[in-house]
Amino acid sequence: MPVVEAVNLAIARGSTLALVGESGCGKSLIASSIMQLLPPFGRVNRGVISLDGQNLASLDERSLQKIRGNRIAMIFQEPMSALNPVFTVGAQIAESLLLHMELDNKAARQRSIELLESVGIPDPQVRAGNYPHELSGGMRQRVLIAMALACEPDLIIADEPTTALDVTIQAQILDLLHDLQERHGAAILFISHDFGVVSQMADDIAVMYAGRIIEQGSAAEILESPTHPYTRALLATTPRLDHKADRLPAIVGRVPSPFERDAGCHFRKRCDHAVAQCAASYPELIARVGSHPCACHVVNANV
Amino acid sequence: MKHYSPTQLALKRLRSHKLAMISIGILVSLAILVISADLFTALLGIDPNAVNLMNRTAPPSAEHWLGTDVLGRDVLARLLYGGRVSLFVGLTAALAAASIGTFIGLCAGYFGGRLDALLMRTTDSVLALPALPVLIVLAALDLKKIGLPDEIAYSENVSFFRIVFIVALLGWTTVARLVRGATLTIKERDFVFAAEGSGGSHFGIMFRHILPNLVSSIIVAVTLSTGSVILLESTLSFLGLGIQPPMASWGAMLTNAQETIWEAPMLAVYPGLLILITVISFNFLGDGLQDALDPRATS
Repeated sequence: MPVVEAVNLAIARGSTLALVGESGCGKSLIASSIMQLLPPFGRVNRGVISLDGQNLASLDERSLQKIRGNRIAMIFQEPMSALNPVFTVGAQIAESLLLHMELDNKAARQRSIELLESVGIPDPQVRAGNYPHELSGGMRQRVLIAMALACEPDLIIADEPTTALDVTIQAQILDLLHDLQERHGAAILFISHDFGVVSQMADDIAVMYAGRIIEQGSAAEILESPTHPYTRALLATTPRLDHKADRLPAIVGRVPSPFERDAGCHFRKRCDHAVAQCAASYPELIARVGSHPCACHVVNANV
Repeated sequence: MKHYSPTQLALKRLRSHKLAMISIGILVSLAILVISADLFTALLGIDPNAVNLMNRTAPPSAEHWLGTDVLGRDVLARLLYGGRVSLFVGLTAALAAASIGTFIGLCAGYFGGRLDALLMRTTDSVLALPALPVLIVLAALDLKKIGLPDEIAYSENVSFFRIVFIVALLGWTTVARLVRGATLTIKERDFVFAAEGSGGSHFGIMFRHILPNLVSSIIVAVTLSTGSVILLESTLSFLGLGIQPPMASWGAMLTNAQETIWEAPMLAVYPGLLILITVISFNFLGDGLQDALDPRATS
């Protein structure tokens, strides 16, 4: 049973693509597919995952281990559980250096201290010898970013990297990611459900719903002129400083699980604009003249 | 800023556990006494295996501090050498069993699927074996007949290694189940996924990332099982199937003492008391370690 289908994404070096959607839309599954670390029973049936022309979906485990952490790195949502509690953070950063770079222990330790410094951790010498439980949430997230940067990857997948942090730290982490991207020129796949965060990071945005991309375009296009009813509804639920609202609107219902999907548009039961055609066939992701791609019968019929 | 590693934190907690600290004191002094058995006998000029039929079941004297046994051998010296065997059998067998169990549990928990099913059904089968009859059969096997060379099959220490082997062969199941369960939990934690994501190999992740998180529960299991292995060794030796004479062990000394239980009851009391104290100490230490190493677990 397909869980995620018809996804077509491209990220250029030095740019950031944000993948937005509710929980259960398949955002994280896309990340796992790129890493080729799908849960048991999951696999990529069709299509290509290409990194500089190399199809990751066709590589064997050993070649993948050389790419993971080295050319593609991941930043996780929960900085506490993504760090191994029994090792010092310095040792954990050194780990992937030792795996992928030809460094001895001492050089790897030195390099991990430099990395901690580059992500803005004060006293990196001392901090490298700390255990995860001795650091604050923001520091741990910085450590995770340092780990991801260790081998200067070409692609960084950031899976909700700021969700577990409070707002002030969020802003710092986003700034840091921005800075590092400018310095290293890595591409970032930024996964989030928060348009507020996405608007600060993304060059391009792809909105996902129930395993499919429903709208795709540049950040300005999506944020300023969203066309798909789901994107519009999602944007309306984002709290804004320049709009006063008593109560934030909510999208009624929930994302249908892969078992509940049918041939029609997956969003139609929660959509205010649904018409008869929506139950008949799934809308294609097509762009009207002068606009960006959107998968909606209603939008695309109103040309 | 003063900072503590998880190990230091655990030691701090252990230090506040009175019973465990007393147990450590007892076990360490026993270990020192037992290790220095050679020194002690050399100093007093006693041979623990020297038979003197003219001086049987003698009361304590300047020469024999705790008297002599049915064959006129020095009881104190035999207690020390017997303790050496009992403690060493307990520790090595518990460690060997734990190593087997850890490896099997890690593989089952980490790889899952068919391997898990196979390994766990094997564990269930081993658990379902009635322990004592199997132990007795294995202990009674003639090693020569299963193809071991004479010098091993008839060597003095063979009964010792045989016991370690048997206990390890049957005793790994508890640790295997424990480790498998813990591996299943830890495998789901993000840092394992992160380790996979940074290009770690399966065995690297199993032993570098998951195993260190299990060490505390394994240590507790080893400590607790050392006590029961010492008891098991005593049982086997008491039945005459464990440590073979002239080598002493506490269990073997109990066997010898039963013939003269009315004339010289102390011969049974000394080794019995030592077994009791040692096993209790190991159990208290295990409890203390459990509290110290895993503050969240309550049992």
